[in-house]
Amino acid sequence: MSGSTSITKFPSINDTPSIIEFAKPTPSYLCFRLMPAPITAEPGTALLQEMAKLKKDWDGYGAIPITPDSCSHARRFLAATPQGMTTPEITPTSNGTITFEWESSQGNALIEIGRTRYSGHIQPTHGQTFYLQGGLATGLDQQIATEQVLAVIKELLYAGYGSGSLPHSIQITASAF
Amino acid sequence: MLAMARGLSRTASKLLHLLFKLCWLMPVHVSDDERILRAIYSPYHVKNNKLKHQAFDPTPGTDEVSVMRFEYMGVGLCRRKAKSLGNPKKAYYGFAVLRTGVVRTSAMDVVDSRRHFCGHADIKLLMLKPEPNEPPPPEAGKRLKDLKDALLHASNYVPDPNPGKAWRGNKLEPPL
Repeated sequence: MSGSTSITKFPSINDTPSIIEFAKPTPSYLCFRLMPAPITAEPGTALLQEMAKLKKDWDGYGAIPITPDSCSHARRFLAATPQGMTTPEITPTSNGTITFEWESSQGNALIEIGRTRYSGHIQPTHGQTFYLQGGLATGLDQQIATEQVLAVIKELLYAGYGSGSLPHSIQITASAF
Repeated sequence: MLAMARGLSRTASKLLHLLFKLCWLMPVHVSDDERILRAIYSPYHVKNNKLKHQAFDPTPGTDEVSVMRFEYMGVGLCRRKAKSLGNPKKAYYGFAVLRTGVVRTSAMDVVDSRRHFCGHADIKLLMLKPEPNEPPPPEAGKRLKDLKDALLHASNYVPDPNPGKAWRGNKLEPPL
């Protein structure tokens, strides 16, 4: 994480291209986490259950089955979807991962969820692309990171639908690639 | 005389079939004006009769998207092949039709891959192969999505309304 900079606001469209990795939770954020978040994404749960049953070659071109870990991470993303966001378009990929996609008048976002990590991007209608990535092993850190990803997507794609600024900070780091 | 003509016709047909089987009648180079077909199997790849970009996901462990050379195989053989590659749990829905030249203008290539079967080709995405069950790095993932979107826009999805019988779908033409 060398060379990272803590910021307390969302990246504006004038910021330099960056990969966003999420910071460790602060004590204030842990307090914020104690408040239950309303879940509005129920329809996707059944779809994820179906995807968990996909066998090898489910797409006719040698697709890899989705691992139980990936399904579990995807369920976590779905359960953490904040109010004011539409249910994502959920699709399995041939590589055995699951994509979540959102589209609004303000842009689109895609998150690809794998066995141990996620990655994705947010493409606002105007301005630069934001790249996101992070680990998805287990534990509270990952759950919080999941919620932060969704909060950033909500802020960039659904601003003006009742969302405010976030009660936590994010870190922008130099590209790891 | 008639019997001899029929016999000659049968022999010529067998010879042509053999030549096709050996792939001697098909040039290795896939020309820009050739139409290529991607068979669609998964319900996850079609929504409201429209394709999703995941329909052009590369075969795992490769940067290749499998297609068939329509000009040489024809609709009958393409359908037979598409159905033969399926299994009882995997329905065949129809084809995405693309023009090779349009694919090439989007920084991809189309190459013959007759080692699979005569008429098989691959769209080469010319990018890294992601690790199984893990997403690619975010920038590579964005590039892959952009390429798949380009294929989506260059394709025309033609559902097969009656896979069990003769072709009754629309004309297999890519978008203008």
